[in-house]
Amino acid sequence: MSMTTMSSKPPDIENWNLSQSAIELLRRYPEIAADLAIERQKLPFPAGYRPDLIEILYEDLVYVRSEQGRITFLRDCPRNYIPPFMEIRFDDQLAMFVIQGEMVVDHTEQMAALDELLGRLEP
Amino acid sequence: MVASVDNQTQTKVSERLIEQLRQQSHENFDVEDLRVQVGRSVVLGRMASGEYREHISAEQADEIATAIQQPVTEGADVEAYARKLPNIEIKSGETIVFRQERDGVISANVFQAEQQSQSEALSSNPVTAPSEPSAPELEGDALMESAVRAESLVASVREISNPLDHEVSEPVATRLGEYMLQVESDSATVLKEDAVVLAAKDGAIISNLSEPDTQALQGWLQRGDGIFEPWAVPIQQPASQVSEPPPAIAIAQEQIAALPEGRGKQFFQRLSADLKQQANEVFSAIRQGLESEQLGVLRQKVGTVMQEAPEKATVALGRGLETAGQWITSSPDAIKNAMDSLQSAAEQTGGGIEKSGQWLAARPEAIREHRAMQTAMKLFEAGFRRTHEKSFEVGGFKVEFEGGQQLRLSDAQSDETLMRFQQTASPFPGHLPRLEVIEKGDISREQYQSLNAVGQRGEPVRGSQDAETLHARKSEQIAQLSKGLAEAMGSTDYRGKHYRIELGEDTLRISANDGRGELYHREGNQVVSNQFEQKDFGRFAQVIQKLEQQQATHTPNTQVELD
Repeated sequence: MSMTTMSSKPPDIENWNLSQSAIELLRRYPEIAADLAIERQKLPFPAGYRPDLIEILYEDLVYVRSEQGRITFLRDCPRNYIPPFMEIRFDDQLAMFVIQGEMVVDHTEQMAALDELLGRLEP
Repeated sequence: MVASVDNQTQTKVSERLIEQLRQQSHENFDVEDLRVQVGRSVVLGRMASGEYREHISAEQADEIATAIQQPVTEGADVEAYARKLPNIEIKSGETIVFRQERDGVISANVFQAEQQSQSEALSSNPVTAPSEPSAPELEGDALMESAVRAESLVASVREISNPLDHEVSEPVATRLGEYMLQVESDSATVLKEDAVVLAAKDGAIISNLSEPDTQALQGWLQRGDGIFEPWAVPIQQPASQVSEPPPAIAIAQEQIAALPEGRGKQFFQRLSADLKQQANEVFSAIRQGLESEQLGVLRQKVGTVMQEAPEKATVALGRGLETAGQWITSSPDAIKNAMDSLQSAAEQTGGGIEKSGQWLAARPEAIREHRAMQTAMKLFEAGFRRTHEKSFEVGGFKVEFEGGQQLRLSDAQSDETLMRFQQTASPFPGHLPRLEVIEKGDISREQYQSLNAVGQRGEPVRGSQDAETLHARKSEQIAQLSKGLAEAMGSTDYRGKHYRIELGEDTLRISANDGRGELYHREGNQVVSNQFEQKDFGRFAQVIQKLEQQQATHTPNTQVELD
């Protein structure tokens, strides 16, 4: 269920350890801020998880879809496009949300820890 | 630094879009009544609070202008998307006039006139969730089946949470979809919306799962497991020269590069490298398809797209790669169709195929390999401690030491190599050593599972016949010695520094104080269990030596500590 319910109290974004510009961006997009407030409370994905569907979104639009190891959708855009925020979703769940290099949500910590142990993170 | 748009530019973007929408629809939209939503956010239009939003970016406006050209996707299951966030949704009042789903499907579009009736049916009535069927009453076989399923679910929950089966010292709590998974050393729990739906503790399982929940949970848990069949791209020419990824992926790589150093960043770097390679394969294949005889097949498969946008297709044929990329983005199905046709054509002509961009896909196999190596290592070490030999057979498998830090795991019967691997120190100080596959044979899923089971059983790993005979003899010596010592002390429960000896009427039990617990248990003449290791023989040998020295020097019968 991905519809956001707006609570009457705005989320406490000042205490998210973000830069001023990131906070300002979230103020401009209150629905996203509210959603992220919920996402930040969620537990990470289990270590052994392997998603079927990967999506990359810029400004809430899907630009890349990969299903079961195959690209199935690619949106064209200018090479110099700098999205103010990027989101990566696994099987329609938020996996990470980043604002210009600042990670706001990351649910992949257990997966990454396992990949590190398996030596899979080395280039 | 977030790009900021000045108010004037913003207004221009919004105005331009509204004008475009007006032109497309042949109707007069009441601008006040219009709401444009991209993903989660309303980017243009009047909010319930009264605020008028004008957040829409030039990129978003561009996308919308392009998207509304597409007709409603044939055969789209509108109901399936009812509770999901759209990619783009445009409403006029309460009516949805345009909607593109996240997977590219167009579920409503009044701007393509003939689809008008369909869009009217999509007026936004609040969608109520279908009421969950209560768990049905089960009887007999159905109960049994349900119990087996619950057990299998619990096993999957444990496996996805702790794939390497390491010691769980702290609870592992994770989430998949609506389900929260909690695993501890002796229990596993699944919660949905704070209610326990599945719980297992010390072998007892309680399931409160409805049938839909069971299937949904199974679906999630299987995603730790399934095998992807990646697209195979026909190789007819040397590998494509394309090193520049499509802009969308290049941008992702830039965004990820800006993250602070750490394994989160590394994880996403590998993931985006995967996507880059996958995109490369698509473009490479399209280009090869465009340039090859398979063009005919390609044309057939993507016929509709080419009919609708012949101009684009012609340009694509002429200019090849880049334009083909743009052509692809205008129709999501085009990729699938193109790749499928190329793959089947390649298979028919017996052309070579290559696969890449599968780092993520390889996760489950990498986990299975590691567990197998871990288990093989553990079994070898157990055997080695027992008899100091180099090769052991257990549970149908054979593990042999080949020198250096290298081990070979094989099928005990056929001697077929299953895996050759080595242990190396981890580059990270304080971390467990690394296990690396050197060579891998054909290991089936059953073999992986069988090996895991052997590892978990914890039965003693026996050595060769000669070694075991010697082991038995030395064990007998220790038994005699221990019994004698305890009797000399007048004790039926002697506790030394390293060992504890318990004497019963006709029983003897020797345990270690170093955490290994019971090592030897004899009832009458029957040895019930024997887990002595070489180091135990070493220690008792020292004791025997001391005793012999005492006897030789006629020293009084002082207490000989079983050190």
